[in-house]
Amino acid sequence: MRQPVFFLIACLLMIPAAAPCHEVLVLGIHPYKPNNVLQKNFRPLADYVQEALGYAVEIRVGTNYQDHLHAISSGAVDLAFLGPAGYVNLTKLFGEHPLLGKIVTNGEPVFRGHIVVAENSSLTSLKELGGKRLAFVNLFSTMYLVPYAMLKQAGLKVEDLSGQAFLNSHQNVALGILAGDFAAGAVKEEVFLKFTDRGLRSLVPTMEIPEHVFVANSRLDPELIAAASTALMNLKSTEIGVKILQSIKSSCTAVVAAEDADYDPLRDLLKYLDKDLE
Amino acid sequence: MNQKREDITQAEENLTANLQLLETILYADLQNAGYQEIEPFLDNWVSLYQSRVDYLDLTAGNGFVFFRHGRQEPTDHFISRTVAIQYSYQSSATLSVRWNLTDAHFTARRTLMLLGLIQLITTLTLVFFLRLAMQRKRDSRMLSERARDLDLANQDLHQEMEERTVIEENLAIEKEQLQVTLRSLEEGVILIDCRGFILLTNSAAEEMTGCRGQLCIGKSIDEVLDLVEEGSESVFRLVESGLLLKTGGATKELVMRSLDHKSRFVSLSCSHITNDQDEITGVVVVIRDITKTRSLEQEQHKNSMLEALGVLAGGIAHDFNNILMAISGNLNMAQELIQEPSGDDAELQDILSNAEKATDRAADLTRQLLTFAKGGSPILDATAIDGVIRESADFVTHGADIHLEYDFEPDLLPVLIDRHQIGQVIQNLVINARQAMSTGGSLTITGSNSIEKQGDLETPMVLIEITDQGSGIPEPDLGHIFDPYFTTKKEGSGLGLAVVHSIIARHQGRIEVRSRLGEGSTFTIHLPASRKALSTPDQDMRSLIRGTGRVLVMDDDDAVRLITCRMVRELGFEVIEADQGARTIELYRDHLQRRQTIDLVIMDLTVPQGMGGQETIRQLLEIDPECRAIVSSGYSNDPVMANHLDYGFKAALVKPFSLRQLSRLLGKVLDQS
Repeated sequence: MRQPVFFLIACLLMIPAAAPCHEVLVLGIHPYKPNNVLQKNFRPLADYVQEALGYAVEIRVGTNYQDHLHAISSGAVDLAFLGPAGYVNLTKLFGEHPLLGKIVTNGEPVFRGHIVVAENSSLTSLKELGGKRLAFVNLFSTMYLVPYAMLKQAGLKVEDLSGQAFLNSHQNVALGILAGDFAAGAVKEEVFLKFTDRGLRSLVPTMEIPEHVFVANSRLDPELIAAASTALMNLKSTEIGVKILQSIKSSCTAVVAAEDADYDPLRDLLKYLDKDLE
Repeated sequence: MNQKREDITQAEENLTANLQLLETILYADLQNAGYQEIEPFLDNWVSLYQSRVDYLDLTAGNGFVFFRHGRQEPTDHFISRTVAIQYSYQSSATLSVRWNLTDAHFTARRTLMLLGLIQLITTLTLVFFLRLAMQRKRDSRMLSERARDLDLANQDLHQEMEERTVIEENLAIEKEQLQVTLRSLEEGVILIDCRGFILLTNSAAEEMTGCRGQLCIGKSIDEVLDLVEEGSESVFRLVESGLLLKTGGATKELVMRSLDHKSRFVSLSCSHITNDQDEITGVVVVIRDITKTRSLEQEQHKNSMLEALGVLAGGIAHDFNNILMAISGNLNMAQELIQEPSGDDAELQDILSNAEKATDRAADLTRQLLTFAKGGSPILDATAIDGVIRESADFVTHGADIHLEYDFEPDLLPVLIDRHQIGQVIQNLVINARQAMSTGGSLTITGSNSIEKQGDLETPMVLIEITDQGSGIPEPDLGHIFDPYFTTKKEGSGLGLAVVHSIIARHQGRIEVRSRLGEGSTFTIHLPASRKALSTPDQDMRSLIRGTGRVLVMDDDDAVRLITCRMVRELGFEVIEADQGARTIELYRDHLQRRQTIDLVIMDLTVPQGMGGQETIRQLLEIDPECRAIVSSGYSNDPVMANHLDYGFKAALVKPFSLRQLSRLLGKVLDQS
């Protein structure tokens, strides 16, 4: 008679430990890769945050960059991962949002991109890109806005190009240029490096751009925001944490504190494009 | 060898199919700039066909290799294909595939063939089942559609049946309504076909023809309708007459004799029934019984004739009455002048008396004639009816072989009657009794008192019974003998007993009859007894009442005016004459202005060519409210005579009147004043 009772009590005691969360946190990712890839890459991080904060974490990938920014501002997502230009646009359009931290890749919290051409291309400068067809990843991605600003600094406008296409991935940009469909394009450095053996050449490198960043919905409880930030920055401390980061980006090794001022240079460069982007 | 040739052909077909598939997919990737999808896709494909694919290469137009697998140097046995993929105006790529056909591969051919066979069987099976499923689906869809169509058709059928049921019910209701309508019609309706054979009759037609129910159906209408022309008695055959064929319907009045021997006047009308082509398919014959209408028309005609006769009689009677007044008045005056008759004067007085009596009877006859002509309200007076009965009955039985017996109770109550009208009643009844006893017999008239009770009300009545020993009245006729124009005599108006009934009714009484054929009839008159005392007979009619004063006599008849003036003068009065109302008024006014009183005016009621008494008294009373006037007329039942006080007169004097009657009345009027 006593055994079933004790068993029942034991089950009841086990329940709190197994009980995951009271609510759900949505982690939004900007669509820089296919949805299934991003879901897979960010799942370890989501599980980590779930365990750290006591909330179930659901991953949602935005349909496009603008949609992602709107989702952050409207509260459709609670935590978000977005690129530096995306962050600058977020603050520009919807005001300040709590920064949880920025990633560190290859030991640096910044990254570069390149305006690239095919190895056998005759192009040597940005000015020569006039009348050419260019390939970019996304209209709102950092790897478009920064190169575009560079083109403008070089005296070129969109109308000076014969066309520009947005191919949704850095790989497509590289392959498109290699296939000869585009004269030039802009890719992030790691992709550039990956395709150099296949005939990709850098025309001009970009400025140092602050890395991708984690932000929080400004309506979240400040204590929750602080806890999330702490959790992210603790990733580097453990081997499992590093692997979680590498799952996101193979070169990612840590999440460090981020300041809004870190993005001022980029903000200044992007102001150059304000009129064009309106 | 042949086996190998077959294998090569199979491999070529296989490769071609795969290349088409690759081309399609790669074209989409290249066109959409999905370059990064190419490598993993081709990699997978190569893995799938690794036993077959010897070499695969996708190279951009500029020489950039998207994907390459295998060695470029071919093996001994192979087939290759190259496909160019143009994915934009400027861009193209080349896909090259080399399919390996070495023996090493053929050793696996069985497996491949088996796999292929399995694949084929699987495919065929899948296709078969797919087709079967599609067929079934199609069949199912067809069945569903058919079922749906059947369902719809079934619904339509149900609806149609419901509608038909409703229509049939409505038709049945309509038929019943028509049947009820036909049954309720007073007119007979017979439907016949074009040959004249009866298809349908209503109950009124059956009643009229005497042919009931199904007996009529199928018979010729001329066989059922027995029609004769009115007045000529010649047979009228409806079909032969052509009446049925007349367009727009036709109407004819005929006499119809039913199978049960009843005759009636009918109006026959025919209407055609036509089809869509306006062909006559039948005729509706409507028979309207106009017997009553005819009777009413005849009665109205009789009434008109009687009315005209009455007017004529009234006119003649009025003039005749005036003549009688002249004769009677002069005779009366002559008798008065012989104050103490002796010798020849006695004989002369007797002659004059007989002459006066004769004029009295003539006056009575005239009065009856006037009563018949004008009807009128009775002038009621409390009267001992036995005297009236004796006088009237004796008069009409004088000279007849009738033994008349009277039996009146000694204290027979007086009745409030118009002597002349009740006298007419007795005369009519006694005349009928006399006619019923053409070979003679006994006529008994009795009078008795009785009490009539109605609840708590007891009314004293006087019963007069007149019993004859005549042939009697058939029982079927007893209920009709008082009806106007009802008669069993060859001659006679049929009005005698109707007048009797009318007069008795105006006296608030009633009349009954009992009769047995061969034994005789008894008429019983019930009259309410009078609560008034008997009017005292004129007392001391022998002495004349004389007076003084001025009397104005108005009458349009010279002879009447002459004798009246003589009578008035004889009574001691001064007389002024006028022949009509206007002159009377002029004279009266003139005398009034000259302060010469006219003590009394005696005026004729009816002045055909001038102002009569009624209008004259009205104007006289306007001139002089104290004017005293007596109205005189031969028609005692005239409303002015009967209600003379209401019209302003002091008394009424019925013509012809005697000197003594005039004397008494003058004394009464002048004494009252």
